[in-house]
Amino acid sequence: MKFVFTDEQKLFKDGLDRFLEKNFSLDARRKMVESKEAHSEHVWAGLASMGALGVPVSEDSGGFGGAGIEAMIIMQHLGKHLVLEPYLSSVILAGGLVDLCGSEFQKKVLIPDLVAGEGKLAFAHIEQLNDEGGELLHTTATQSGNNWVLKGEKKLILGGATANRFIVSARTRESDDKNVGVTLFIVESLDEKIGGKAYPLIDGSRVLDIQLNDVEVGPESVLGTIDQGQSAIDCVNDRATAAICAEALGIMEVIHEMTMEYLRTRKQFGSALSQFQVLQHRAVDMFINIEEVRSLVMYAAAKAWSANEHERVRAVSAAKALTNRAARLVAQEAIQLHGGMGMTLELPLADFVRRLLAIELMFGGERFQRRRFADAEDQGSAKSVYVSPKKRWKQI
Amino acid sequence: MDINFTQEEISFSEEVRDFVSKQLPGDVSKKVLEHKRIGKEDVLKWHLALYEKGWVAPSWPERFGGCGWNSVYRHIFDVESSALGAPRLSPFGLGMIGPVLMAHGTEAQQNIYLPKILSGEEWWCQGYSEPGSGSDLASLNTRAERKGGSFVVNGQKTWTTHAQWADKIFCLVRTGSGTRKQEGISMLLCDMNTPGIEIRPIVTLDGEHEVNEVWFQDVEVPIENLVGDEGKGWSIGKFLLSHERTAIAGVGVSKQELVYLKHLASIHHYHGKPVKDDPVFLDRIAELEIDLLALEMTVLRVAAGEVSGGEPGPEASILKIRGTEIQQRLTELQLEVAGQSALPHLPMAWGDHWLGETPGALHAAPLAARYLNTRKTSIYGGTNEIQRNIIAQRVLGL
Repeated sequence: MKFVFTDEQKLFKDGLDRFLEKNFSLDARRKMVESKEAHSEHVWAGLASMGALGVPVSEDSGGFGGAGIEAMIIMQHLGKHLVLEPYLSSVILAGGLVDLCGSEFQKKVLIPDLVAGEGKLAFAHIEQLNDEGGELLHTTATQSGNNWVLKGEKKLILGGATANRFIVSARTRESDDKNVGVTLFIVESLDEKIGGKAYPLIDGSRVLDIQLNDVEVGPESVLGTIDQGQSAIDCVNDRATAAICAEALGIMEVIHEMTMEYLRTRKQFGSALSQFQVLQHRAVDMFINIEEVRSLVMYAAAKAWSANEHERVRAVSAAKALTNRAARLVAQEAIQLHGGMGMTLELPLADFVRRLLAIELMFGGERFQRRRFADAEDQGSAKSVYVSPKKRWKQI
Repeated sequence: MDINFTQEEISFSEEVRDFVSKQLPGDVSKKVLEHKRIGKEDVLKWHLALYEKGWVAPSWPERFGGCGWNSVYRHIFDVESSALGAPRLSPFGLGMIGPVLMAHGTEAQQNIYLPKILSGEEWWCQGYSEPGSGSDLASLNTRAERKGGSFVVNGQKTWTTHAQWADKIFCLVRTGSGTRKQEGISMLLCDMNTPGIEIRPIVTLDGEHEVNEVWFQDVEVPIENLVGDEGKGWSIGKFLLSHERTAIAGVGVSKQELVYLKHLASIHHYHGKPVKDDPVFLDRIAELEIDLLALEMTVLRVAAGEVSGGEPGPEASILKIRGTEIQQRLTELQLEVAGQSALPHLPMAWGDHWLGETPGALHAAPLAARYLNTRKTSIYGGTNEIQRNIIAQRVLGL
């Protein structure tokens, strides 16, 4: 068991940090948000040239390998710098689906473009915003000769505004079981039968809703096995959830440091706020929450890429539930400790707090994730190194 | 970074499980798992079994008769043995004065005391707190004056856990004065049978006798019982607090108590349905379980950091706070699940040889007292507020 980064990971981490420090600023972000730019092509190209877009796509598929830990490093730094780039949506979600399910030919067409920063993918999956965990899909794909015709609506597509291809989930067979009958399709975003509407989220990032009005695609557009797409969807959603927790960690570290700096410099009653014990203890509780998140972010990063589904679900749901709770506390305390200034849009704190709030609302809330965590236990496939003394209790 | 256990670590956990299940006396584990009163003889039985195996001092270097296990191995041992109901060994010799003597004691002191700590022949207690010196420990007033070849000690120690079981006590005493209150403090080793020492029991909130006052009236302590330099006892006393940081989190016991909590939630009911099926309760248990998982991963981060030779990072400072909070929440939730069945107060029901009737339920009888007892964890070893002060100053630089 080792919790330290390898030299290679450290080198990559430092390089990424330097690059973002130099090429991305909060001012630039604010301008982009205002001008409705989804992200900066310059930064995206830079991430590509660093090799970040090929991580964690497997080498077999044409990526640079790496797994959860590398994704964690990248996401934590994208959070630290509050970058708008669609790494999560393009590489981890949609890229992950191609990596997991793609044919040799599909990978050859899509992955090199993705890694080079030339092609962007987005995963079009969510349909009903008022049904978290999205039980049954209504978008259908029906066969027409060799081709498939897609009909339905997809919402809240992360990175959708700039993607040139969508991975669309659609129902190909009627079933009451959400795990059966879902198929993934690769769809060109410029298809004339797609209607789209882009809009901003609370953090300024832009997403897309689309209507698929009888979009016809060929058999080569089927990604993975027909009717069997759900397990890959669950898998990439978990990876993305683990990754977004790492982003939240990076954001919370910045918020905490901003708050510490404010406590050290702001004076009231003749002394720095940092001298007041009641404020010190609140700062410590922020710190404790962040360290706990760091522990489970590492755990989830490792397990989200593991083959054991039970472990993956438990680790990811635990991490997201804890991250959400900590995010709420850290953001609220930061605002409170900044006093009136914490309420303004002027301070950089505002941008970080708003992004953190967006993360909280994505990929399942605190109670949703705790429920998923608790339910996963009953499936009973846990392989712990620890003995379960449960049986012992049955005798008492 | 690889957060999975290595093959050696997995084999080790299997070896521990195998040993504990064969050698831990059944009557002892039953008492621990059912939260019955644990006596010195219970702890001693397990101590001797471990001594025979050579596993009694996991953190001690091999040259002093310990296992020399790194902190990951110690964590595995803690979790595996706690899961099977192993009692906690007395920490005052093995976890406290032993390591102090290895670092600061004379060779003679090491030869005299360490073997008997290992063998279980001599039990220790800790003389730190005083009535006027709790969180502000350095303000302590117990005085030791040099007279010929001895120190003469006068004063009072308090909250002394298991003084009634102990053969020896290690004390912080004032031997001189300095400009700072931390100066002039020395550490002395003292035999509990020395004339002038008196133990007065303190009965705590749970009705049990665990802690004591220890009074010193003209107690003569030979000069060779001074640990380290005279007047330098404060830094030695603090060394003790930094030793074995990962153990303080109590992850092994808390994991076991979580299993017990879930068991309770399956045998107690609301409106005829098991409490475990109540969604609100399910959520609270899941929240606690996730916090415990985060604590365990934090412990492993600290442990793995120590193994790779680094100084414990800032994450180590949160273990006492979160570890004790989780221990307390576990007892609270257990009590809440048990509800009215934990009302009857029958201290004899959690002692040895109870054959009588137990109103309520036998398993629930100790829960209320245990809940009250566990309030101590956020107070002892430096209150959780003192811990927050330490983090604010040393980690956050406020």
